[in-house]
Amino acid sequence: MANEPRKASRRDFLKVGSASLIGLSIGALFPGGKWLDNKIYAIPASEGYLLVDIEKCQGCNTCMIACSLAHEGKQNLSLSRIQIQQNPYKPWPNDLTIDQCRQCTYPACVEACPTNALHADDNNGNVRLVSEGKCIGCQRCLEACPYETTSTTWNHIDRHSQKCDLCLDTPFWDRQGGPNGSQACIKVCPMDAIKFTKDVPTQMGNLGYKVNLRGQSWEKLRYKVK
Amino acid sequence: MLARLFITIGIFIGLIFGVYWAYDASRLYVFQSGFTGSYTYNLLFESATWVIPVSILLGILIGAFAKGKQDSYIEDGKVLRHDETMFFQHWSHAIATLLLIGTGICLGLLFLPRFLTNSQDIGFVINLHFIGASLFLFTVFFHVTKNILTGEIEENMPKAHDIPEAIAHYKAMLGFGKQPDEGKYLASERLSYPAWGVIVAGIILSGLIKVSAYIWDMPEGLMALGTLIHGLCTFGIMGLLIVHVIAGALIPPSWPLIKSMITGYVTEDYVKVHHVKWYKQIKDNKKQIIDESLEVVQNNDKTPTISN
Repeated sequence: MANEPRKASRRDFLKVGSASLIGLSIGALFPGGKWLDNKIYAIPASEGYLLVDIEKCQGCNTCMIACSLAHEGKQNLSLSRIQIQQNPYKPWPNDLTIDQCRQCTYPACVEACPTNALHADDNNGNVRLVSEGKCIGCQRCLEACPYETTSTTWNHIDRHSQKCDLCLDTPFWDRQGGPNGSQACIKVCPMDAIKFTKDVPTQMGNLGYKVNLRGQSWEKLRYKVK
Repeated sequence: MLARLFITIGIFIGLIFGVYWAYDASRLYVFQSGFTGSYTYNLLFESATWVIPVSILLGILIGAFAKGKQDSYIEDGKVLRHDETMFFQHWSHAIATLLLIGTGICLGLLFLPRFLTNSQDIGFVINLHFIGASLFLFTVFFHVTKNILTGEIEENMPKAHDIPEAIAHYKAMLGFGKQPDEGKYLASERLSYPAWGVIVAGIILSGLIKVSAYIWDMPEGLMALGTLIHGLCTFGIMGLLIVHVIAGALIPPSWPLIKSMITGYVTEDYVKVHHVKWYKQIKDNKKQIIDESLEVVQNNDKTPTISN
């Protein structure tokens, strides 16, 4: 059997094979070719932002529970896309930090995603979204997020990255979400410490957006307003 | 043996280079300048995607050059079972498969249990998966091309009566009945070959869908389907590998084959007992060679001489 003459000419085969090898290799080396995605990645600004007044927050975690319930149907603080942390070594009111996705104008997480799973969704007001089916679990978005704690978190149950989508995809909540809808965390916050805006807010480094949601009643309680 | 030593050294040098490449690419560096805390690492699937088609085509090209198996013969009481090409093909494929399964388990079970504790480790394992995938694609396409072009693939495909023969073989191993006369490959080996083919094809196709996402904007549903098929085929490959290791290495009758997968040779006695049909074939080949040699000698004797 091994000594039978070959049906295909080895010379012809090598010619075709070599040409394909060279062609495909060159094609793969130059992204932006004929069949490649040729979009320019100037990422448009989001049409919605969450504002959080850290000094107004009392750390009740209601927003975290609501977020987890609306998105995952579970009361699990680890699944929440908004994270409140309390530092027991810091005095009130500086002991709390709230980390929500800032929908950055230059989103490092979107830039870092190798499979375009994390993208600015132009169908939904350019909100930075994770297509969970496309997430490969590399966690580069978590690493790229410049904030501490990162706004992109890891869903340890379904094993994909996740982030605030302004309640666009909330299978366990019957309200319409997104930039033109409601957000579960805003609805449930008993302190009105979270608000929604369509204007790009001023960044304050790791502290979040520069925002003061405290009103006159806050002043009557003799809390700091400014 | 010298050729096998060079092949082994070559595989290990390639592997060491691959592991270093994977490690080097997975080191974190500052991603967004001006921010402390924004880091990233390189994914070889993204930065060196071209290696994937090159691996496939190199496998096809070198497979086209590879020589077919020689007819088996007996020399000093030994029979060549696995030549150098087979040695290279088997062990490089084995290393690639183990690397892929190991890294695949780590990535598939992220957090439960938590093998990988930071993104740099995740990057290293994904990059190792890339090295394994490149080697795997090379060896698979090398094997398929060589076997199709040399016609050897027919030896591996199932034949009529393979199922009853395989059953009789395992019954004989358990002490019931007589072992059927086997050729070079056992009936059970031929039966498992298409299963390997289907599962390996499934894992490669679904893997290529996943790799495509690094180049094109793939539909989410297709990516999710690719991931599901990739995972299912991984379980299939693990199952086949476990059966392969038990049947081909762990049970005592297979121990001579493990030795031959390293040295290349099995003893004549082993072939006589366990591969009766193959032994007969070797003897027939030997007889044919002797007959042809005698014919040449006789023809030379009859050559007319020129006389004055």
